[in-house]
Amino acid sequence: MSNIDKAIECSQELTLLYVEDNQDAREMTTMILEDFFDNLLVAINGEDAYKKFIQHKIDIVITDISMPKLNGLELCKKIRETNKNIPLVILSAHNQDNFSKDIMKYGVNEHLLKPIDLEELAKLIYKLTKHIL
Amino acid sequence: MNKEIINTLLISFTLAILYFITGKFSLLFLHGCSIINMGIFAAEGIALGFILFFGKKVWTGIFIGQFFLAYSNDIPLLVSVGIAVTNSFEALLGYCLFKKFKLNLNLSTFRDIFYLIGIIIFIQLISASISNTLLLMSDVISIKEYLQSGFSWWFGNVMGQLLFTPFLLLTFINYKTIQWSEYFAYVFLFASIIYFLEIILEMKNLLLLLSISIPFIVFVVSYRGFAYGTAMSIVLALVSSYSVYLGHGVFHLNNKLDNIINYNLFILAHISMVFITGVLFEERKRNLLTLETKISFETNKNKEQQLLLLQQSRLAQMGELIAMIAHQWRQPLNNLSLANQLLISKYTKGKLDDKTVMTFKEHSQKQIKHMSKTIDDFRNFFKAEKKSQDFCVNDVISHILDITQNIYENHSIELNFVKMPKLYSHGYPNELGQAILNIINNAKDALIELDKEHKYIEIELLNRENTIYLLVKDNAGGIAEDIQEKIFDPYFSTKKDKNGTGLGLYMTKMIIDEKLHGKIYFYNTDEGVTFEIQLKELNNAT
Repeated sequence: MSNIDKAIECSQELTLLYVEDNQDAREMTTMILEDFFDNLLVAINGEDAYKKFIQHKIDIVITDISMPKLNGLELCKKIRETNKNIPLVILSAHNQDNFSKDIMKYGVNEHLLKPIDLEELAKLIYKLTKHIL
Repeated sequence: MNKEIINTLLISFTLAILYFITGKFSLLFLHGCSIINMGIFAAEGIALGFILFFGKKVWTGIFIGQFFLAYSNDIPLLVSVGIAVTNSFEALLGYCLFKKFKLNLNLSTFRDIFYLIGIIIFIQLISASISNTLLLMSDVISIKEYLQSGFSWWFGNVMGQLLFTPFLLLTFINYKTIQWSEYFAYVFLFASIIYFLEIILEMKNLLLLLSISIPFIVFVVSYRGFAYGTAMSIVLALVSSYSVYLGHGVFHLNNKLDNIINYNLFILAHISMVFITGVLFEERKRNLLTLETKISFETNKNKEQQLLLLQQSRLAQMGELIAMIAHQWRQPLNNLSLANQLLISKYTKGKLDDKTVMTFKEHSQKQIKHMSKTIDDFRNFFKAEKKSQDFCVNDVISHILDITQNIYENHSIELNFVKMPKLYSHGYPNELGQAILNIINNAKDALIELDKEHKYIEIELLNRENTIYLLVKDNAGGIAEDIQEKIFDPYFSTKKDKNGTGLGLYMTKMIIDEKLHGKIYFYNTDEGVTFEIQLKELNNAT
């Protein structure tokens, strides 16, 4: 069974909150993620995401890092304050050695570099969700 | 080769003629006294001047001139030959000593002058001794007259050389640079004054005469140079010799010898003044020249450094440009990658429908266009402008905001432009854009380092009394006092560890000062720093 299939199997039941401020990226990623998650929530910025997080029962969050208003790291910090266990994934274009250490302070579990590789995303989703199920 | 020989012959012949004529003149001036006297013997000075300048090959001129001079004054043939040989030898000895001590022909140092005086005194001592011994042996003078005659010979010849040798050397050397009309004007004016005082006014007080003639000669030498002074000494000697001849003024004493002694000392006083002032003038000229060379050397070094700076700042700018394009391209590249993966993902799942393909097509096209536009924007922005032009300052700012906006968003920095009615200026808009960009980039770098909620950069545009005030404000904490004086210095950077070149603000200041003829200031505010750029406002912009 491929990683992607495994991920799909694991995640069908889960609710994902995907946060991205860039419209194009959001639309395409959403189309891809729809195949993994039946329950997919999409937010257009940090504030919007936090609102949706409060309103719904979310199992996993994938968020872009740089956004106006509330950025990805701040969002993660806020979410982590209310929920200690939820898996949080940050998407970013940065690739600096110190960066991974920095984001851990905000309670982020995983860090995925842009441009997103579907295979890697699937692996990550599998890794983060298999123990929830 | 032939030409050289002809030249030498011509020079020697001229020297012989000059030697004979001036020698005759000196003797005539002494009223038919014998050849042994204290009169200034110009011929000797001319001989030494010629041999020092043209070389020892012209010695025959001295020999011939002296021989005919002596022989025509009723001195026996053999003695005349002896005196001619002695005088030629004396000049050659002077030449050799001059070379040995490596003296300069332009007599520009005290060493040159003092050594030359020493050489003259020495060679004339030898020459006077030998010549007078010859005269004694041939009974032209008696043993009683020997000492007196020897001294007179020596003194007269020394004076002749002190007066004429420097004059000839300096004239030969400087004849191309001397402004002859002015030169003759000074010499003629001096001669007229001396003539007026000595001959017409018959001034009897030597000290009064000196107090007029010496300041004049010192003034001209220190103002125009050594060569002028030597010429003035000669006209002084000529006019005064006429005065001695007439027995006028200061030279009115009954004893002719006393008059001649007074005359010689009077001339000597002027020669000493000319020598001292002349060397001082030359030294000053040399110092000025050294200073000028140093200045031009430093100026050139400075220019080279400026060029280097310019190249380095171009490189830094290029690095900046690449970094900015890279940053701008990240999002569209990511989106293209997503579109690609979307297509593949749908295809592998057998879900590739028309809608997906259309989405793929639209998004891909959009991203590619976006990337292409980014390149164009940056290329236009960094394009060097050859000509200054009228431009709208608001447009420059808007353009910067366009190309940098998403960098600032990524760092959660609010970049605002307080809109104003359009203001126009004249200069190089792209350069101004780069200057502003350097300032806001610095603000951005400072803000990124800070851990604070609300980070902003604000650009404000005002106009007052034909001046445009472009303010760039931030809330990044301001510039520390101890570095405030240095921020516009080249290579000064607080970000050396982060690839800061220290050229950004230096270039900014250069652009504002030199390309836009504006001014740039900065001051700390409560929250951060404000940079103020002042530009001339254009009123009749089209």
